[in-house]
Amino acid sequence: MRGLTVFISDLRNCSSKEQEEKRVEKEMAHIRSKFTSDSNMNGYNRKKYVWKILYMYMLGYEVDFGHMEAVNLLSSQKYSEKSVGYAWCALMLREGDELLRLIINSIRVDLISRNDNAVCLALNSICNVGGKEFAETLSNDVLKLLTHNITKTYVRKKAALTALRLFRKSNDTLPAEQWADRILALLDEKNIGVLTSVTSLVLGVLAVDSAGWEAAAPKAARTLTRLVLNKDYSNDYLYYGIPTPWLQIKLLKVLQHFPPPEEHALKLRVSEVLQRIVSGTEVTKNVNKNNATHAVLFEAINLSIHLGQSSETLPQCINLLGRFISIREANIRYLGLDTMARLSQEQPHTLDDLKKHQSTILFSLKDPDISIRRRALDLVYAMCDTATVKETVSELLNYLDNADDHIKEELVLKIAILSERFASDNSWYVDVVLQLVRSAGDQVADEVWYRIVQIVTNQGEDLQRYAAQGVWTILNAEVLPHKNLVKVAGYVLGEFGHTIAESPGSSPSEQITLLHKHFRNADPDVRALLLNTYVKIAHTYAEVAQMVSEVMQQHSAAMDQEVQQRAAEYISLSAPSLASIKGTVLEMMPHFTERESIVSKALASKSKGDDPEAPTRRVEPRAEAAHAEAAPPPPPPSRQETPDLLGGLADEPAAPAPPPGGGGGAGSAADLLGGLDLGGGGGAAPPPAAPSSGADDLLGLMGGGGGGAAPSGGGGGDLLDALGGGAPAAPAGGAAAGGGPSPQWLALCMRNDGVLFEDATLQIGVKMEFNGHQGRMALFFGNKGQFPLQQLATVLSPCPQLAIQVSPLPSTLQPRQQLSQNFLIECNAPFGDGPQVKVSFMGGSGPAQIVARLPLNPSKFFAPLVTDGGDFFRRWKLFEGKELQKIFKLKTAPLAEPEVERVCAGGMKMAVLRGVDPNTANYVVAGWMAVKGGAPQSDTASVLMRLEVNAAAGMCRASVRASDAGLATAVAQIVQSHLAAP
Amino acid sequence: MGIHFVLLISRQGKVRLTKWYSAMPSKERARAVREVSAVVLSRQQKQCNFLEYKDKKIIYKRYASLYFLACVDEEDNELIVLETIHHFVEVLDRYFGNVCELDLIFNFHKAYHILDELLIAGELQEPSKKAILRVTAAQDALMEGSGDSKVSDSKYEI
Repeated sequence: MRGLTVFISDLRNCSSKEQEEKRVEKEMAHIRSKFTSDSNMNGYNRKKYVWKILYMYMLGYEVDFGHMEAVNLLSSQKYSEKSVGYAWCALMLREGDELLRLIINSIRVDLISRNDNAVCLALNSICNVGGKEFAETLSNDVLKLLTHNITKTYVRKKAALTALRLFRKSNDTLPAEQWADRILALLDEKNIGVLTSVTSLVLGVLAVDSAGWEAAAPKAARTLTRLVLNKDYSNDYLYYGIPTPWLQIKLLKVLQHFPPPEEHALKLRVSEVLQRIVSGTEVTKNVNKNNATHAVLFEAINLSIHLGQSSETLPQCINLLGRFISIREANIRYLGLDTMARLSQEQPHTLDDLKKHQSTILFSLKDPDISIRRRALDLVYAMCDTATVKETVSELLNYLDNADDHIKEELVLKIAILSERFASDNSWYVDVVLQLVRSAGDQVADEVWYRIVQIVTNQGEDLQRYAAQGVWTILNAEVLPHKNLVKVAGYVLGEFGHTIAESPGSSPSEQITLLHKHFRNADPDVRALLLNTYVKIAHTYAEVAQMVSEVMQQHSAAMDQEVQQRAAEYISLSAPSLASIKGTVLEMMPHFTERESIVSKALASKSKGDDPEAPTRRVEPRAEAAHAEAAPPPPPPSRQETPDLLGGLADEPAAPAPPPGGGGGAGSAADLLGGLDLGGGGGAAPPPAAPSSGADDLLGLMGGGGGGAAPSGGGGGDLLDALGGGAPAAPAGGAAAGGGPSPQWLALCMRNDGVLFEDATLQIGVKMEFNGHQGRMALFFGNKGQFPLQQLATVLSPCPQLAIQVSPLPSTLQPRQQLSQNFLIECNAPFGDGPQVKVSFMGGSGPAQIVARLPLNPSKFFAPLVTDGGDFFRRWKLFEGKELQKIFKLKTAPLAEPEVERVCAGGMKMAVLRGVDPNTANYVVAGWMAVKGGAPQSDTASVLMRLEVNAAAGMCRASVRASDAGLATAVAQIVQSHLAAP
Repeated sequence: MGIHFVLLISRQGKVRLTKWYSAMPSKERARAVREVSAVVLSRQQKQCNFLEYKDKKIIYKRYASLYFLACVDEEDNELIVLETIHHFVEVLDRYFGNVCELDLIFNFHKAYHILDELLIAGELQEPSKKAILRVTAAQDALMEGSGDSKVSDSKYEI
């Protein structure tokens, strides 16, 4: 195509960006005018222009025309034109695009046509664009192509992968009872192209739910035997002499989705294949051959690890891995480290064998390649236990000095976690963390020093004295200490300075003098913290009171608001009339409630970060038992916080980690006095500004009213009792597979507690509480079966409009026991569909998964909007064009007011406005949605609904208007499902 | 889930081909291309072909003046993805006959067509080079049959 080639050359010859832009503009104008003037444009020209448009688009230029031409090409009869139309779709369209509706019919015509070439183009494009619309409209046709016995192989393999793409979009397209047999039958196919594609499809399904697909395992094993042992394949499928490594790997992966085989023949088969791969792989000169053989080998090792002790090849694998991590080839070294970390996690009994390689692994920390350093660090972290912790940590501390900034922050977190988790004595832990704070400065996340403060506070006086001495020594030695060091020192001396006050050289006045030396150059947050320290020391030691009061006076007019406020408040606090309260306020901090370490949380959240350099953490710290023995004891009951002091939803938002006690961050000084009002009467403990998000308090809060929501383990009582009773009866299995809304979900739209899911093994209950744009939710998992559920885990589907913090969930759920998981939710923007939760576990009958939509529908964040007709219609007009209508048959006609009140006011927290619609059969309902940072009752926050009833026909039209289309849809759906006849 | 996207960039960081297999808003796509290219271009030759990007992995390989990249999930098999890339390069090489960057610039549409025969939905569709070339040749014949000719006057040496 000459015109296109010339155009590309022209652009390449442009000497500057400006010149190129000019040329592009000229071409666009040209094409635009051609498109508008030449209505009889021939196919060749249309094709040429569309290719040019695509080229410009690829270079990054915006293109906002040519859509219709492309659509025309797509429905052309000529293959060459059609294929250009499809190429345009592949590049320019993505799911959700309006234009998809326009072409979906043309695509369907091609999909069911007799011309295989057209069918292939259609399949490619469905695959490329994906999307819900396609899944709903086309999935039947695609599956027909996949399973029909006259389909040609090159169409069938595309159909298999297209089915996979559609399945990933909506998991209910392939129910096992309907499809498992038919699709698995395709695994007996001879053609390797088809086998590869179908195996990908099966793997996609297994990744979601393997129930009903068990027959995949023996079939995979049989094909592996055919490829690996019997060498039965066409030579076209040899890749550098290896029989189709892609298929081998996929089959090995299929086997990893099932528990180790029990049936003898299958077991033998798998073991033979593994044996052949593991012992038959050799290092070769050819890079590609080497990669392909090792790709298969690593997958075989993964399978051996999965099979664990039942695998005879595991010892060989361990040997191989040991060899790999010291090999010169960087890729193999990387994978060796990566796979070892996996091994140490999944098969802890191999740890002793792995430890033999400790020195090689530590050496890899110094590898010039950051990718390899990361893997090594992960592995060191995964392998650490009580026996090796001292050596490991000292190596890591050594490494810290030379580590680059990319990895330092992660390293610091990991050192802090290891030294806490496996410490045999806490004084060693204190030494390590102080060393971290001292030498890594900026890379020390706040959580690290919050944590040491928690631990020291919760331990006895010995550790407190040790810590005070520690900070004192270090602070004396540093000329220009890092601000984090000053903070720790300030906090520790403020709380425990008295433990060293008697020692020579560290009297209270000397302590204050030393701290104050660093005060002048410190940041405001450090200064604010130091004011706390001073006032606490002065409270115990009258001899420094004068000195401290001068400092307070000086800063009562400080520029920084926080510093000023603290100084002013501490001055007021020393008034004689407040003497009794002063004692309460300045008393030592109470013990912290033991929760998940905030340092672990920080590490977990770091791996989700946006920084491209941010590490990904895939290994979990090991040995929970060791954790328990090293963790500080729980606080004495007398010190336990009363729930109301923890504040309602409003005052403890989902801040990642407020600083412990009154120290640090802005606003905590205010809390100090605010809390006083609450607790002053009964002389309660000072306000325990809890060092975690507060999610964990959900139970306490809810339990207060609901009759012991805390699952105290065992007991075997009725699971429903713990939920506060009154949940609607739940048909088993109703919420599975995340299809349309389940009855349980619908019921939970109207109320805040009940059962979300129930079957023979598992019951999931919910309790929720909402306030403005924030909410708390607890899921209660009850094991109804005979067997413990292992590896219990939940994953939420992404819902970008909601910020959700999730508390950890123990991995094992014993029979007749209940566990709970808490969620802190913040609504950042209007949304339609809330997230789904995927609950996976290993039950008595193998791995299982449940997918259910969480009852976090938008109306949970609604509040009634009481207004008059004028304002209602003003708001109504603002959303002109953003309306969603549903017309449905009513359960009862005419629509009775109590029913509307129950659904709209009671359930959805909206206001039913009277007298706005003159027709009394109709209803006008208004609410507003609270989102973070949004103004209450603002125009944009409004959610407006009109229900117009035709009583004679028993029909109702619900029109919903809101700023967000998804939101309007969700509201309309909820109303419909509660008012409509079933 | 297999490959999330495939990216071809020149040593100067110019994008020669992008193909997305998972839904991602345009802004995020642009950002991913920018960030990933920057890291890959700065790596040395002897280093491994993998790097971690957010919760995903980038598998890349340099062929003459072009970098071929694929973004995959953490649990995917790195080496086989590397060979999928090589498989693509070999098919391109057979098709164009000693493929060079300019072939891919002037015949970007062919490159896309070939890729569609190799990978769809982020999964390998056909492990046999022969089978792929057969289908591509048939498509070309169809194209020519309707008054089109394959661009052959665009061979340059770099």
